[in-house]
Amino acid sequence: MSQAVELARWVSTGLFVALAIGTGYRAWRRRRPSAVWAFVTFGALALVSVLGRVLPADAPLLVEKANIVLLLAFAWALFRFAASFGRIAPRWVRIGDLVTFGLAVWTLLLPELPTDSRPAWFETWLTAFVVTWVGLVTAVGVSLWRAGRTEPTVARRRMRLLGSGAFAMGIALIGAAYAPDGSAEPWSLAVQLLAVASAVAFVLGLAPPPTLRIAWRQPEERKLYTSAIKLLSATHRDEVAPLVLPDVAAVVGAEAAWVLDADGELLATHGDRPGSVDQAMSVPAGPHTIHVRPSRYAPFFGDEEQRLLRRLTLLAGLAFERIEAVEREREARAEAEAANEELEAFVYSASHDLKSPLIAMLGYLGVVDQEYGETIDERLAWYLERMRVNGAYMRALIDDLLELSRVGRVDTDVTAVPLGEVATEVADEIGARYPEATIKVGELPVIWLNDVRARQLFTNLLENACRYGGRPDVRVAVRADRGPHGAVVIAVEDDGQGIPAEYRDRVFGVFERLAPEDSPGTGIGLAICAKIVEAADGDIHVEEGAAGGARVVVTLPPSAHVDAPAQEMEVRS
Amino acid sequence: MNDAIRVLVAEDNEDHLFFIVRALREVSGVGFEIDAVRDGEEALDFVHRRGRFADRPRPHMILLDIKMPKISGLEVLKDLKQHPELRQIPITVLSSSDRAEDIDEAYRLGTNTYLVKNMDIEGLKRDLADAKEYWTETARLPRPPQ
Repeated sequence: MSQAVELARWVSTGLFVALAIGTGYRAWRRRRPSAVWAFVTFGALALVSVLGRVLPADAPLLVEKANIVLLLAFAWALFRFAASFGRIAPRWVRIGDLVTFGLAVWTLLLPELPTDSRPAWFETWLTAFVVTWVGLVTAVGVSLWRAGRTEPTVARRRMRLLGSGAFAMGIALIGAAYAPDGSAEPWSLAVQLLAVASAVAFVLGLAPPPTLRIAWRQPEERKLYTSAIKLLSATHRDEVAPLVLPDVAAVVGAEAAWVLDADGELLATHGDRPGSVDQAMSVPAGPHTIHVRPSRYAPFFGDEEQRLLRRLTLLAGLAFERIEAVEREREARAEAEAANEELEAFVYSASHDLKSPLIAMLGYLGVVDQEYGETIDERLAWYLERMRVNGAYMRALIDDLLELSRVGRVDTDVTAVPLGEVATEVADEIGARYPEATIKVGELPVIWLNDVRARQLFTNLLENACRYGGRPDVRVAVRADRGPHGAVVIAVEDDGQGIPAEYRDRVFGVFERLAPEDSPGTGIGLAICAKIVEAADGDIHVEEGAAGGARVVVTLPPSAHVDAPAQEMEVRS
Repeated sequence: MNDAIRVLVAEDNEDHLFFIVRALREVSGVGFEIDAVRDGEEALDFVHRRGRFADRPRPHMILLDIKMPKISGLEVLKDLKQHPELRQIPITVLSSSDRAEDIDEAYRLGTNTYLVKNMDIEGLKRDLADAKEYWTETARLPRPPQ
């Protein structure tokens, strides 16, 4: 039994010495009041413990008294350590100091330290000593335990372990001071085991091993994980700060956290942002900086959490950067769209305004014909005819430009269009104008499209085939196929002169013509076709036909099919 | 009794006015007595019989352009169609705009017909002949308010 007591004594002594060395190293490195007080605390405890081991039973009275004062100094230094975080009122700190000092003087003035029987004066001193000592460590325990409530898990556990260690020491001291006479051995074993437990609690509280830290950190890690998920889905800058700041604050137990942009402009705050931000830590978060005022305990207990904080702010920075990139892109796209709309509106109104005087001119030409028809000679008649032809061409140009500006803007509602019927009707109209041409319309599907645009598409494609075929008896065929993934593929193919490979992309541009200037057509027809097809998310291109003519291929997405699945129909309509 | 139908044409564009008047004159059948005004203010003065139009009789019907200086055709339309006596005069808006918004707005303000200006002289003649046939033969015009 006495061997167990002895072993426990050595273990606790060893742990206390280790604590003194550890806190001493830390105090030397950090030079913060809390670190220094921690060293004073455990230095005193280690000294008491070691002296208790090495002092001979007949050591001089003064040395024994000094050892008792050291034990008192331990409790007092621990108290000052807890007070160094500023959470114990200065008044109580002063009272603690005074009582401790008074008790130390009283201890040094004791005439002797009786071992067998305790006189009344000694009992009085002992009670005062125990009350003071227990009062000091209880203040420490309560203060650390309560402050732990708002701290991140690792800091909270560490603070509570230190608090528990202090409590255990208090109980051990009472046990040692008031050991009952009868059962000496088990009693002192219990006291020693309590001392060991408190030493272990101190060690774990001051320097928890990495595995413990990782286990303790789980709630913060989970918070970090959910923050990361939330940050990934944030789409607006204003969403990021409210998502990240509460977690930033929670991870480091901060009272306040806020975001400043590159110009120092405050973007968002969480908690009460202090008027003086001297103690604030700033961490870069992409283009911005996140500032936190960590809790007073963070410098001592929260080094671990600051690493977590950096991970979190890194994520927030990425979110800020991503969102700003998205916003820049969105703005650029909106600007481009606005510019495009403005241009189309301009084309529309310019064409419209150009048309009015032109039509008046053409009208007056008609009036001249009506009123002076009989007196006009051949030469004047030819000049007037050229004016009319040019005026009519200009009018066709303006009409086509107006039409081009309308595609995708006017007549955008989509219905089920039976392409076969539309193409046949258009083929009849065009066929009437080009009597020698042959137009064959194969079986065409019913697709989702605007019917005005569908008609326009076939009119332009069939008219082009007949007009630019190069000979009057050109043969034109309209066919449909199912392309890859069920795409709608419509081909208009002729056996005319074809379009040379180098011009096949250019023909879809506005005013691009391969025919001479004075041939009919404005060069806008295929541009209108391209715009119609693009407005329906399709693609149009020209290739060489089987008979060497031109084959214009229109590809529309599978969802253009009227028999396409219902949800895709909804998207289109 | 005078058989002629009095038509007020409100049109600021000289050329358009020329073609409209010409087309109206060429339309055969009942004769038209045509008065022309060049902006919305004059149009309102004419119908309200104010100023230099004080002794002009009110028209049987009005051909009204939308884009006009001072007071727009739509405002003229709004004024006349809110007037308890003058609202009975049929108004035909004759505009070069074929925008659905303009057409809707004109009908909302109470126009009786909306024609898109066809400045091709033959087309204009055809349209006005149709309109005339409608108002003088198919339908019945009210008497103009005194």
